[in-house]
Amino acid sequence: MRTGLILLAVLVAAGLAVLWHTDLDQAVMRWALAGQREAQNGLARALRSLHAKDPGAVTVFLALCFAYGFFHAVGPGHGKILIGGYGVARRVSFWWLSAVAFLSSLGQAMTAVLLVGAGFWVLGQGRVQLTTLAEDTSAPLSFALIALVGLWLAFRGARGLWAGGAAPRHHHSVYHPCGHAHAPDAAALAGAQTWYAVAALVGAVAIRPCTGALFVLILTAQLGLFRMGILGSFAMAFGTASVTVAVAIAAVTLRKGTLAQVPGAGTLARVQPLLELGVGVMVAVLAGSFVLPAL
Amino acid sequence: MWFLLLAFGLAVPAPGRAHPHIFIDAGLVLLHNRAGRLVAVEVTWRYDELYSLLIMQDYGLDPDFDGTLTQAERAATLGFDLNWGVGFEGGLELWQDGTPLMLGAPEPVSLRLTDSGQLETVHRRPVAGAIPMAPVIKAAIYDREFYIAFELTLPMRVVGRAGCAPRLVRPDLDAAYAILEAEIERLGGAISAEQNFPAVGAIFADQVVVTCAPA
Repeated sequence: MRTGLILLAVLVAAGLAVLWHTDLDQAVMRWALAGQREAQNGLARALRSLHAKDPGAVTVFLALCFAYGFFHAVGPGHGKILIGGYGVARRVSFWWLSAVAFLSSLGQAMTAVLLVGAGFWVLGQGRVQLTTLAEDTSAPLSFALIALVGLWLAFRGARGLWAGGAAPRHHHSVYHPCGHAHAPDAAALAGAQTWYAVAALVGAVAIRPCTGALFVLILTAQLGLFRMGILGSFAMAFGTASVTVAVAIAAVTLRKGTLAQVPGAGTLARVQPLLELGVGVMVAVLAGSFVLPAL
Repeated sequence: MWFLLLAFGLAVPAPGRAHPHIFIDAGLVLLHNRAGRLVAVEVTWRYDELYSLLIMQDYGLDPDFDGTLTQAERAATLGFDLNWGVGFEGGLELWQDGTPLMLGAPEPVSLRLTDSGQLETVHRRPVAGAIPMAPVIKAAIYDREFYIAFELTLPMRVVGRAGCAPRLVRPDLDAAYAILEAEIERLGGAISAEQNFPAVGAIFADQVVVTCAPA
């Protein structure tokens, strides 16, 4: 089990290293960009077919929405920093983090539908106002929330380090201000995966609707096909989720593999909060660097 | 730990690592006067089909979806994309033997809908500061924020001067990142995204290098 984990983590890491040290990461970016461009052009044709009520247009449209979401999510954004960082920093299971990644993608689609639903139908706003709102308000807000989650991780890590470092000395002490005698154990850490962690992670990503989904929703609203637009947005969300769920799985694998190399429970207790602190700071700095220019 | 850092390396934002929502194929016509001096440039933008459809819906164009625009529709929409704000001033940069040239305000020239359902607009901008018979002229089009992905893939022409050969140069991202790092180093590493970020966007963009034989 342990050897298998290390091997798996090394494989994931080697894959990332190959991507990074060769030109492959650029090739992937170009491939994703070309894919998005193709999907985007295809979407316009599919929308025209839908409008003309061509047979089979619905299937093609939904498939292209999925493809658009997938290629788009390979590029930056869509909560990959947050999901990946969280999976590396905290003791979460594949399932838990994959579910969070999936929910956050669905949440993005939901936000887009609500935004266009309210903005277009109720308030009568046009494309420019809606996309500006998404780019200038929702995007910095999303990054700010992601940075806050990063700070929270860093805070937890620092607290864990403090408690871990103090544990041997205070081991037999009667008074423990924080109520825990020992370094944070696995059960306590796992127990922290409560509803508010899910809400924070999903909310931070979902508050920012994807501009591509907005484009499709606005066009379908104008063409009298809004219901298709809603379906299309969720098909896009499935496409982005296919990438973010993969990131979630890779992140959890990396953490488990890293920790499996650490001998002894005592060291482990120090490494885990160190990971949390390091990753938390990185997430906060990365996300924060997107927020500051917007202020 | 090292590979955790690697994983984050892939997530680090940098120019060319944002994601665009509009794709534009661009082309250029370099207009010279009788002395062989570059005096104006005509820029063609061909929008992707989805953005074209968005614009057409915004402006109520082609309501019957027959794929053609009337004379009145074209006239009413001409110049819709020339209302540039701060942060995007047309995206075009020109150099003559490495020296940047001054570009003036755009004038709309034409607007049409292609058979593929793409809006294609042309605008003209005056060029100042060029010397007659410059041996090399370089052009790049890019959006600093990468909201628009430009590609210089439409035809490139030189008018009013013979013996010029345009060549498309796709960006070498490795070299571009090396230059960016050197620039950041030069500025002492104190970079904020907006205030003093090195103006190196062009090295991440398509460029056209026009080499002309001496007259």
